Amino acid sequence: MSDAVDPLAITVGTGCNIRCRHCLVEPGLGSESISEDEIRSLVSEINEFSPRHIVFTGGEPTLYLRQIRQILSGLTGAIPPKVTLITNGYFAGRRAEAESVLKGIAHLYKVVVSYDRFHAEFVEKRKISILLDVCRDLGLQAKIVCAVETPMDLVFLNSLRSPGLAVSIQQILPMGRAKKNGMEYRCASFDRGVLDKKCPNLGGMVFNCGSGFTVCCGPLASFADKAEYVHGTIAEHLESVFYRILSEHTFGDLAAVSGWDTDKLNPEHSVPCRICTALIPGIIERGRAGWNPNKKSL
Amino acid sequence: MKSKDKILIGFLVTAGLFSLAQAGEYIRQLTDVQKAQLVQFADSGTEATVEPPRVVENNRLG
Repeated sequence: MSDAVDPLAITVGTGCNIRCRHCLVEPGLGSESISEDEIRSLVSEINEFSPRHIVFTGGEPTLYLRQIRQILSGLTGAIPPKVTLITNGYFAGRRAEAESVLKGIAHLYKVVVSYDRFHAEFVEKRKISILLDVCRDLGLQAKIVCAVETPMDLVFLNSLRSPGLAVSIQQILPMGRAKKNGMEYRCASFDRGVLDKKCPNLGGMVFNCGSGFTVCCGPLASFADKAEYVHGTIAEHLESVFYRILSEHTFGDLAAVSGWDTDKLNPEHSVPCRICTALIPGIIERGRAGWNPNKKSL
Repeated sequence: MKSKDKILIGFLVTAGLFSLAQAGEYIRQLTDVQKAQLVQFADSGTEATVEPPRVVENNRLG
């Protein structure tokens, strides 16, 4: 068991039945759905690293239920992972349909429902309410993930009237369709606190179909030249220069070694994924030129 | 500072949306109606935190 791979988020496919304008998924991120070969190697990696939590995401992962079941049926660990499903909830038109989908996913313990003013253009609130009710009746944890350009976007959830509901807030990043539509989380000024932080996804790992394993759940994983950021196996990724830079250094360290004047950073650099995307490619480039970021010269 | 503003700043910082300074700047831009709507969310008992884009699984806190 490795704490470096928990949770493991699996993008089983990038296809989706709706077209939200804020979606972070890049059409060119990888193939549209996970292949048979990828399933075999993914199952082997899961069995080797035994993550305690697996998160199925997409696209809309319930469009790929056959592949999800295939992955889960191949697991051999003595303690099965707890499974989370991130979904837009489109299938919950009736209780029976919602129950059928959720009961068909082994080891499912949590459902994260993407619901915000953007998803609401496509999925009725009624379906979200049915899905939350079914989760409660099946004893599953439920959570809403709400994408925001500003905190005022959270006000949209007031209409759900579900006291005590947990909400994950997702700051919109300029990637995928969001980038094309000029959308991202807005800050009024730069927050120096980000300089003391490391990548917030450290400890987790993402598998993107058609692409591979990466700690990056943000823009770097979708760069055209992603050989430095995405790898064929978890072990390869954990040994990569990219992973070591992220795991050993704060963004302040990386800004210093890049010669940045941190008194002149832009407001958007307050968001970890934004400052990371601005810093890392230059550092990797220097690494290619012979600089060793791990010699503690920072 | 009004108590509504204090509630909002506390919420924005605790949720990880803004630093203290940013939260102060942000709420200065809001109208009273907007503040009331955001306070309604902050006071609803909803547990809200910023998480990384893909991995919505806040299991590292225990």
